[in-house]
Amino acid sequence: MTERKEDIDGATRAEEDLLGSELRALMSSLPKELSPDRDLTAEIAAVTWDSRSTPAQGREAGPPAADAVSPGRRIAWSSGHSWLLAAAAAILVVVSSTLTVLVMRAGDEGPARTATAGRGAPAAYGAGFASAGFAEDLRVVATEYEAAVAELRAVLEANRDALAPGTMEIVEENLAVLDLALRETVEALQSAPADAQLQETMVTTYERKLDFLRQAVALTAEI
Amino acid sequence: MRVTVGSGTACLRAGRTGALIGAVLLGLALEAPAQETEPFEEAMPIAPDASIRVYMEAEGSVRIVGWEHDSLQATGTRTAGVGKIGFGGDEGSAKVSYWPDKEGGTGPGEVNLEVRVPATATVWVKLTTASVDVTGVTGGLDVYTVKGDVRVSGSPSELSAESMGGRLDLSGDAPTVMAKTGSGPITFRGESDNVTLVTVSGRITVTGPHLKRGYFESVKGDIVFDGELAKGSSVKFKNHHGNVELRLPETVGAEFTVTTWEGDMRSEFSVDTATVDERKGGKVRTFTVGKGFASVEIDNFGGEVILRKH
Repeated sequence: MTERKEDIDGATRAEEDLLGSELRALMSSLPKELSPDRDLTAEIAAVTWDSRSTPAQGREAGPPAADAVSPGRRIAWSSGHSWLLAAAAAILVVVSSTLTVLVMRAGDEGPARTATAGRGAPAAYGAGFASAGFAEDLRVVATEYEAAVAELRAVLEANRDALAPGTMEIVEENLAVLDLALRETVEALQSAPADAQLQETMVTTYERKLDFLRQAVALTAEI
Repeated sequence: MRVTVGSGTACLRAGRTGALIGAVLLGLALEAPAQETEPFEEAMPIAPDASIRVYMEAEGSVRIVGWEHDSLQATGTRTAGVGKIGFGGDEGSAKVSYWPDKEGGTGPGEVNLEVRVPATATVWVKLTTASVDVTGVTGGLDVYTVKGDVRVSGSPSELSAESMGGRLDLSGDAPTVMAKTGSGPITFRGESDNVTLVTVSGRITVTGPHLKRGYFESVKGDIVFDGELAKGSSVKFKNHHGNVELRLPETVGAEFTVTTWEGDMRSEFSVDTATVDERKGGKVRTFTVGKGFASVEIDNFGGEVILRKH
């Protein structure tokens, strides 16, 4: 029991450290409650996919999120690598927070805006969009995801010796499939940037990318 | 693996020459690389609702069987002199594990294990390349492999299965099923209130389900759904490069929303009354088949959408 509590405390501290004061301040300024204007069941299911504390707790069908380290999984699969999993969790918390801001503002103000500073989006994302507003929003989202992907990759690379042989090949193969899907989605978005389904597809595909990296990182931890 | 020299040597009884050849062949066979195995057997009492973890970094297989005894039992074989097997815990939780000797240069070895657990226990399984077969578990079940195939049958109270490179074969009637792969196919047969199947490049096949809610997503693999849609049920299919094919009874009643971009839709059901929303490069069709008691949403970027009668 003691070991489990230490894992949780350590992970929480790591998440707080990595969030930074600016993002924490932004998050604390957000309203406590918002009424959804549509059925959020699928999204809720996505969040709860890995948020269980046992292998099975009431979940509904829906797209699983790339929740790097849920409390349940952190407890269940932790050992000496809990810091690593906590770092992965923090990376995704940052991404999720940015997306939350985007979604909330989009609901009230039409095209979403975000205060999060971009880190230089890849040229492919955002370039050539018909609408500058959506292009900027999508560029910000892509930037955050790409940054999270890069950081998870770095964590994985630093621990690749702990992976079973062939694991990196599987990860790379699947990331290549997802990258192709992303490129095609972004191309389609360039002519229809306001299309909600294409936007959702882009986000879902990024989630898959992160999910794969999260899975690989989790592989370095014993249950 | 233990080398066994058994019968099947009738041809060598023909004479001295044959015997000599046989001896030479036998000698060659014995010189071939062969790893000795050693048996493994442990057991301990445990509570029916205990949490049990199985962890193994090795080739081979794991079979997990839920039984009606308040005890945990592990039996099997492993490559002799390689790795370490762990077995222990208390009445509330226990762990069966195997680690390779990474510093000894002996490789991961092979382990073939059968673990018997109280049927109502909560079970976690995490393996690298070994395959796993689970039956008879009615508690929660969480299975994870890197490349090993996963087969689960029965009625776990909830089921989560993931494999990056292996295939998932799931059957039974767990109330909730969550499954995810990278390149491996996912097959689900049975009934469930909530099913979520997600893969990157694997194929998804769903057969004979009686679902309340379902979510099926692939990026590259085909998705085939062959079953009934219960009244009030809601299912969603999402694909990028693969096809989405639904094989439904002629009497099906459902409201459909089908979005395609580069691919198209073919239907054996009448969609004459479909409302079509043309978008830049895409098309959204909304239509009702039969009484429309179920809800079906399909979103496919590059693949085809096919609706068939079965």
